[in-house]
Amino acid sequence: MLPRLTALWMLTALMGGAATLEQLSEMRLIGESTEIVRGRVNFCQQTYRRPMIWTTCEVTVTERLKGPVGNTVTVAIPGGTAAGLRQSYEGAPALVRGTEYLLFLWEGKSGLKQLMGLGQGLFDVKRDSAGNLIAVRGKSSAEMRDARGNVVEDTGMSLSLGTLRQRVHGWTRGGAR
Amino acid sequence: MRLLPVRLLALLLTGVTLWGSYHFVRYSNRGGYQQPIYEKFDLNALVNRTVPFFIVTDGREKLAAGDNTNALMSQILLAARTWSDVSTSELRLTFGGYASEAAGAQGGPGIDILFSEDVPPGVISYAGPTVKADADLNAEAPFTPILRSLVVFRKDLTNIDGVAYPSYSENFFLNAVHELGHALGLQHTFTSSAMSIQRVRATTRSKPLAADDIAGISILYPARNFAALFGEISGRVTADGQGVNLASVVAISLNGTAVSTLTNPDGTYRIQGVPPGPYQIYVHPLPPPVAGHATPGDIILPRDPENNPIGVNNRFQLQFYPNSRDAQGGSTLNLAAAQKMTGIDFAVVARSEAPSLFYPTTFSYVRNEATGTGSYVRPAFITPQVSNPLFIASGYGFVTGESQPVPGLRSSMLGGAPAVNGIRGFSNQFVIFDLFMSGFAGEGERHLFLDNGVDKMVLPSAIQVSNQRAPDVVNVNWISPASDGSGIAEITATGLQARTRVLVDGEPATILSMDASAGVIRIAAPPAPTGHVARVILLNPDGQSSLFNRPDAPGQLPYTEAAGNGFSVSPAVLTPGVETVVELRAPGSQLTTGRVTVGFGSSDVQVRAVSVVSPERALVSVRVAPNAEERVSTVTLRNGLQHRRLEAGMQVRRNVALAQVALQPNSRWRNENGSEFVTPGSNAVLEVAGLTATNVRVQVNQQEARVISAGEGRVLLQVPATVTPGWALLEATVEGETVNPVLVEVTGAAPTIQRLEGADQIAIDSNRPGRPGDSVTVTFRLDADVAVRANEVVFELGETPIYTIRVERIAPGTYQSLIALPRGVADGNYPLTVSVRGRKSAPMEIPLRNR
Repeated sequence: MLPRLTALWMLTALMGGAATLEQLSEMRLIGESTEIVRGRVNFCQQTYRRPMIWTTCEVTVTERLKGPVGNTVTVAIPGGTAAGLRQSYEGAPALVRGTEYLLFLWEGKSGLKQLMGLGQGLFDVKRDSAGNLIAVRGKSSAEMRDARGNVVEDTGMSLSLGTLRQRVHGWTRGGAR
Repeated sequence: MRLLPVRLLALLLTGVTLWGSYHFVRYSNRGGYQQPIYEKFDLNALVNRTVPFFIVTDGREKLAAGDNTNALMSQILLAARTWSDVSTSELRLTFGGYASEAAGAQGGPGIDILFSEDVPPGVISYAGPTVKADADLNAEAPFTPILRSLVVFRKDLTNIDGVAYPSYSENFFLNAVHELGHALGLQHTFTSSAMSIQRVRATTRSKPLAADDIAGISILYPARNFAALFGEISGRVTADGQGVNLASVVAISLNGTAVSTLTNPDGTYRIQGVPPGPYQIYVHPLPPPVAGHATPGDIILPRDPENNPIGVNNRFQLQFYPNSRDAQGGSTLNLAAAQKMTGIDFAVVARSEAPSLFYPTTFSYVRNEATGTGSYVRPAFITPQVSNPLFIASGYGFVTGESQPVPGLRSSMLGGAPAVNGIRGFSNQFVIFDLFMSGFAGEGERHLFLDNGVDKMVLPSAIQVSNQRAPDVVNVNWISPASDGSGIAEITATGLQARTRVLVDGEPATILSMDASAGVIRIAAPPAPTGHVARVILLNPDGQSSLFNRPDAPGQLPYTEAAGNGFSVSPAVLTPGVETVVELRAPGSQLTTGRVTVGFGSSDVQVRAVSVVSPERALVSVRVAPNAEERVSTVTLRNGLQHRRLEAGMQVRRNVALAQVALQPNSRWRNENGSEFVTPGSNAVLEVAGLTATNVRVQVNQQEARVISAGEGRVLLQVPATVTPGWALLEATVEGETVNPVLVEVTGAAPTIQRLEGADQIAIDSNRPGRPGDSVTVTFRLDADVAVRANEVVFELGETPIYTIRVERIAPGTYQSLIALPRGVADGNYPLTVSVRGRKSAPMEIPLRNR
């Protein structure tokens, strides 16, 4: 008889990509991020901070769920074209100017604010059929599928912003649940 | 000029065959879509056509319990060697030492491997090349030179979703191989190869590269024998008459091989590097992006001449050549070595949806009877340790949220065996595939075909069948201590096979003796620092390793004997534009040919040759770039698992007053007869640019060489007959002043083949002939004890080149190669020869008989 899969962490923990990723749960996104903001992309530019080229996008914050006060936040994504050089990293998402996102950010020693788990920390903001704000992961819902192959709004994570606010609030008051 | 529209080009280019594009690709106005331009290192701009890689670390990585930095770095070095040893690729990699910071694109060609605290949660590693954004795309044979590549690992490896990530694990090592592949210019493929994404990867420590990886690297950096050894298949993929961009076309063989490419924007494709044999060809759409992916298939999109990405068309159905949705309806094509099969065209059925069935991952449960424990391994191995032959799988489009197979799910193995008896529910969105193993199911890799009623897909190498148990290390003991120069250890083990190999951390151990039936191996262990506890891992040729049995507790080899730590270098100042010899003295060491590398932490200072003179002394011929900046760098001496650093050990300084420094002997001397082979006693021509004087003295390995003539930029000399073949120290004086010494190569006699063995380690002779398609171990000798790479060794059967899988130095001057005998050879006796760096052996007759 096969043992249950609870100890088989590798099945779900490791994901594929040029970047090798570990899958982040909602609670890890909340707990390990340094900032969670909803906002719209103003502009993106690219800078070379040896040895990395970064695409940095300024986002006007419309709602801040976690992190220090500020009207804007600058998000750094590895790769891009700067100083006459181009760097390519598979899995690095592209932010679209004028688009609204929910962003789970992490600030490291360099001071750059990066997306948690590359694209894992990037959600589109939409309204559900009841008119409530939801955050769904993925740029194109038409291309995201569930494990049954059905077209879904999200490959595994769709967050009601109302519920998310409560969870972030709960986490900041009492730690992860 | 703008590029022609894709549709028009497709009409114009029908029948034109193109290169594959599982690399980083751009197109130019000059070449159009007929000529993909790859990002790759310019081998001609490198010393010895070798890319140096540098490890950037402060030594403060957080590692799994019992792990340490030396072990970690040895795995990185092994991953680099995996690519460096591909015999059909010219590219080589060498450890350039430790650096305090990544050099970036200005640092010259190389790879920075960075352990960083600045990696966000959810990311373990990533990698990619840096190129000039405005590279010249209109050159005659264009490519975009990679200026520098970057591989970034997170610094904390103790907590990947709550579990540590030890450096000896299969996952860490295969991850390092994958990221280095990106750094060298490879993108993702969909053949379960090293360059496939992790959840569908079917490579293991024992077989870290698949045929598709070998093809991918060899296309970028082809060795001379590449085109002769492999065939190619080309054609075009269209939907409603229009070319399909970035369709994945796969040549798949029932023996386990899968080689693929992605189509160009006009739908044309060319799959290169296909081993000879029978193949089915299928085309499939790229999977849609899933969490963590930015594009379908997680591919960096090719760019048009205006630098705009060209999108993916993944709205069509899988199809086997010529026109079947099932493998049974597909044709089997026989491909010969060097054959160019053209016109393999697909007219696929377009659809409105992206695929719904993708990224299956398979596991099997391996039980270790000795310990009473078990573990899941991936890919699924079906072995005697798997009771009730089955495997579990998960993925998109075939498992319900209740962990049941989707209604109507059908599956089979290509070729029919083993049969899938049924699919049933399990847990955590996994389902169980029950297999029926008939007596006719041979060993090897099997490809899974899935059909969920809407979509069909193939997972290459979904399971691997072996009649052998995975090896298991029971015990490891020293027979003689590491410090006495021999460092012999004995491993007690089960599941040994004749070609079992041994890793001590990331260092391959030399096997001194093996009794597979008694379960005992004796190895010459690599040197390691005092107090180091190495992990001992057995690798079987079927892809299994001892980690299958004890993933968290591999055998241990503690190094308790005192070993030397320090070393010195002389001279400690180098001059730009000059090659010279640096002497290293390392008291208390056991320096060994093939295990020693020396690095100066910079692409500006590259090692051209290393000669181990004694266990405590080595000579290193170092070439400093003419434009090298003044700097002080760390010198790294690696000897096996010992990584010693001499901080601020070397300085590059301009304006050093050396009288004859401008007289630089060219290290590539030649035989007077024009040959590149300079043997003891022969006359050699040594070029010395700017030499006008005639009063020249030359010593080779401190033996006086007779100078026959000198002047006008050259010296004709007779090499002392008693010089030992291998790297030799060449010292010269001009008018009594010393010029820079260099290491030159003294060629020995041609290699001699000593023995041919089959997989059972029994000699091949007329009573036990070899079989076409089998792999054979060839033992050969050189009279020079030098490090030899697989791409420096060429085997031929008559005039037919043979693929070299591996080359190992097993004793001073003695080497073993694993080669693959070609298929389709008629019964008979054939002359087998081996050439090492162009020196060809006398033939040894090998009898071959087909089954």
